[in-house]
Amino acid sequence: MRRTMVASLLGSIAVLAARPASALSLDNVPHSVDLTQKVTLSNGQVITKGEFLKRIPRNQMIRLRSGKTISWENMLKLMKMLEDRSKTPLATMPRATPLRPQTAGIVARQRQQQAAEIAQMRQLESTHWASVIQRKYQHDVQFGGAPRYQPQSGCKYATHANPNAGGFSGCPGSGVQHYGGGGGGGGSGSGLPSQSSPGGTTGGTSGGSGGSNAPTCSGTPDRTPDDAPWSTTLGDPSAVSATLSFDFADKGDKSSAGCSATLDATTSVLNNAIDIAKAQLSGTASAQSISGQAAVFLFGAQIWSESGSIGSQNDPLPLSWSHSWNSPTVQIPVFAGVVYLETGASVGLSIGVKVADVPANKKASATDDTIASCGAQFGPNADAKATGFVQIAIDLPDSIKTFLNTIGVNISDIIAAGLEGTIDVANVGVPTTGQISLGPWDEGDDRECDSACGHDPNGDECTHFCSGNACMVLAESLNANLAATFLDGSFDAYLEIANPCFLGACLSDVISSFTGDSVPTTQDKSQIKWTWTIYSWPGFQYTVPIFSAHDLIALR
Amino acid sequence: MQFRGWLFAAPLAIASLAVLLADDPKPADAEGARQATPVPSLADVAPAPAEGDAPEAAPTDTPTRSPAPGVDTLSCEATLARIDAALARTDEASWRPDELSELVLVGRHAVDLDVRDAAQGMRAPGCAARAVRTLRAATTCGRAFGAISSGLFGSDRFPADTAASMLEGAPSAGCRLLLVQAAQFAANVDDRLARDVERLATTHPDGPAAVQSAWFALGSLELNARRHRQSGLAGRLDALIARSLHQSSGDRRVLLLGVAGNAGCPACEADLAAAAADDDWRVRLAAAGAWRFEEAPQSVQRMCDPLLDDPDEHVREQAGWALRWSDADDEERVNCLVTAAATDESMDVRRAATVSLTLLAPHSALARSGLRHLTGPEYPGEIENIARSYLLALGPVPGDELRVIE
Repeated sequence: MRRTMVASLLGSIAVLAARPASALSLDNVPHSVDLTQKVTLSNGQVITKGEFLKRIPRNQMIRLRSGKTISWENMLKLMKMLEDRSKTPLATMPRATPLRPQTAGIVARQRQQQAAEIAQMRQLESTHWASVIQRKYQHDVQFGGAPRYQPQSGCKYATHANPNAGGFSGCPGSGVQHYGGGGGGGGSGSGLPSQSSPGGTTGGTSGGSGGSNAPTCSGTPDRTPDDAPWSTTLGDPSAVSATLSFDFADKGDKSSAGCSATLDATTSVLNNAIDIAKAQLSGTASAQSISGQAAVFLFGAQIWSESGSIGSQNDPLPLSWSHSWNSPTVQIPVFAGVVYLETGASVGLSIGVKVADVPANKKASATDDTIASCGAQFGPNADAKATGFVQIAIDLPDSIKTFLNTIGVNISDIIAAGLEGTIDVANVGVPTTGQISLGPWDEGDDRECDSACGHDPNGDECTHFCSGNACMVLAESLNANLAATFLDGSFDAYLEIANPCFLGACLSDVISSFTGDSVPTTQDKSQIKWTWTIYSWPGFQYTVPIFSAHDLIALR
Repeated sequence: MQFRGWLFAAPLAIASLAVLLADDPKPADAEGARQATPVPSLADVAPAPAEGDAPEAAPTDTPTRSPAPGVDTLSCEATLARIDAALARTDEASWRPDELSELVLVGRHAVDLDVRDAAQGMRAPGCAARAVRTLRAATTCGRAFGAISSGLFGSDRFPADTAASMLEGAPSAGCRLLLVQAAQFAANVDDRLARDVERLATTHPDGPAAVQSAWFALGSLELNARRHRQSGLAGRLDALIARSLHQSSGDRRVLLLGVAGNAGCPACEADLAAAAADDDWRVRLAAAGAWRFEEAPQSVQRMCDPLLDDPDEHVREQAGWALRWSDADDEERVNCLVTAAATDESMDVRRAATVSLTLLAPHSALARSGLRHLTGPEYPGEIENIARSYLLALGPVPGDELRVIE
């Protein structure tokens, strides 16, 4: 498939270029290209990619099907990106089956690569959109247009090698994600009498607090320690997705700590993405204070936000909020006048940020993370601990699920999600990277459940799993995939919680393989630990606390 | 028309429509074709058995997957019992929205049971007919009555003449109001149902609430009729709505603009255009939204102009919302939305425009490109989050994104 993409691109270029320059005829449109960069034209001729590119006049902009025009140089970058992608065996998503050990790390890398591609594509297209917006804007001015929002400028992300890392930009903005910002804007709650208005959630929301600390661009690249992302990804994008991220840094007197997370339940209506529920949080710690913000969105509308700060970071639980609703009314935009599409959902959310043990004499700066990545960042002398957690239970009643299913919204997979990550690093000495991904919800294999636990009262439900010698109840079976990568070596591990033999005798079946070049050998590495709390609808939870690098190594 | 069929044009959270859209076998462009595949009567689908003589088969009430059983697992008897219990409930104020939504599903499920059992060659229990009889026997009608009726009407196997019959036989104005509201869900439309609703809209027998509901229902019925290629019926309703809109003023004009929006009323376009210049922001808002199903070539521009130019943010937000319901004139549509998402002073407008882009993106490379642009650092906050979340969920950049325009 990747090759096909490249071929499509090359072929398309040829078509465009052939017309103005008469360099190529349609007969010569290439229909395939292999990784050795040989281009096979439709007339059977095989030429090198370089030769092929020479036939495209360089002094012309290349127009893509999307309507964008890009330069020759950018086209080369684009091709390079595609070719790089074609060399990477990415997992196909969305996945219908549980991740296998080998794919756990691949999926995490796929997300990173995907984000990188977005950034690259965006750069290639930036001129086009700047032109479009400017043209429209001038039109507005000419016709006395609406008040304009001024996009932020001059506030760039820190120069991470990983474009997803976010860094220490702290770009000012109007959203709720910014530290010390003005807080959330709140929903409109317009409730117009006859129309299902897009902002028409009932009640609106609070506008957040804060606002006194205007965010600034506080970060500089040289403050950024070696990047060591640690992130979690939960769920299948086609059903439930969540991202939990941490961003922690400590480097001499320039340490900083922060984390942000987004738990996002999305689905689609007739192949159109719909954001069912989303929770976001962010927090940061400095020597002077700890602050954070949280917001919850339901069907795209913000229904709750909170922000706050405390003056000291010594409290190990500096900030936490929780909020729940009993059937808030939400509106799905539909025909005007529809009565029963005001539906209800109860969303239980506990959200918080914990940052502790940051040396008091260290300075810190705010961070601004993208939702897709972020990570823990540890300098050579890091001695700190950061913990973040997101717990969200999206409780859309069965009636709503079924109702939405009938109109093409598949939310049957949404149960509840919660995950907690802890990373504890003491004098790591070398940059360390850990990545954890929790795979898609899966109903599990009933037969496995039966055979492992010996009984299954519901006959076809995997409601049990083994923990040691105990058979424990599991309301919904899940799959979790753990991948850990160390920069001085690497391995991927796989944990399938859905497998009833999670701990104890069956453990070797669960942690089924490792991949990578090597595994860490120093004692310091083994101090990296993960703990997980996974909440399974309805309200049942179990904890998997015993999972460390040391355990993984031993198991190997 | 550049609608990507109405499958895409109407991703509406309205069960009746969506089921129709999904299942409609592409009827021919004539009402006669509609008649060629007639909607079966209740008797066809589910002959009513003697009471108590309803053979039941799986699924039963026993939940098979979820600890909390879904409506779709209910047997006919359990479905009817749920209906009885709901109709007997007297504390009207205590209904929660989710409970009412579930009742919508209960009503629909009664029809689904008949269809399923008939397909399996089972002796059909006539569950829908029994549900209808239960509703007909109601002397007072509350919110449960309306929700269940909506579910029944919304099923694509529920005959329009039965819906009309229930409307005509409503024991009170209150019941009639609920039934006309349910008629807006009607998956099947016929002349009888339309005339019943029209009578309520134009003769005002039951007061202003019923008039408003009836008008909105007429708009929906017109759109459904047109999508079913019932051109005669759709044309008649279109003319009625257009004529009424043209003669209206004040609040009634706002109402009828909304009705025209439901209908996608081709004959209303001149009045929609005039309303866009009205001093009353409510009129402009309704007009901006009313172009969303219009198939005229200028429709996108009619929404784009207020999105970028209207001084009232509610109007701009409505225009941003309205642009998501079709992918016709993709370039102009997306360019407007991206510009609004990037530059509008109102966060609500920017959000509406961004969400619209995500809804267009599955079919529009340009919309995906626009979303990528909105992931930039100059658009921090919610807009960037929406765009990035969507793009990451979408997966790798499609290969055909990179093909050249011929």
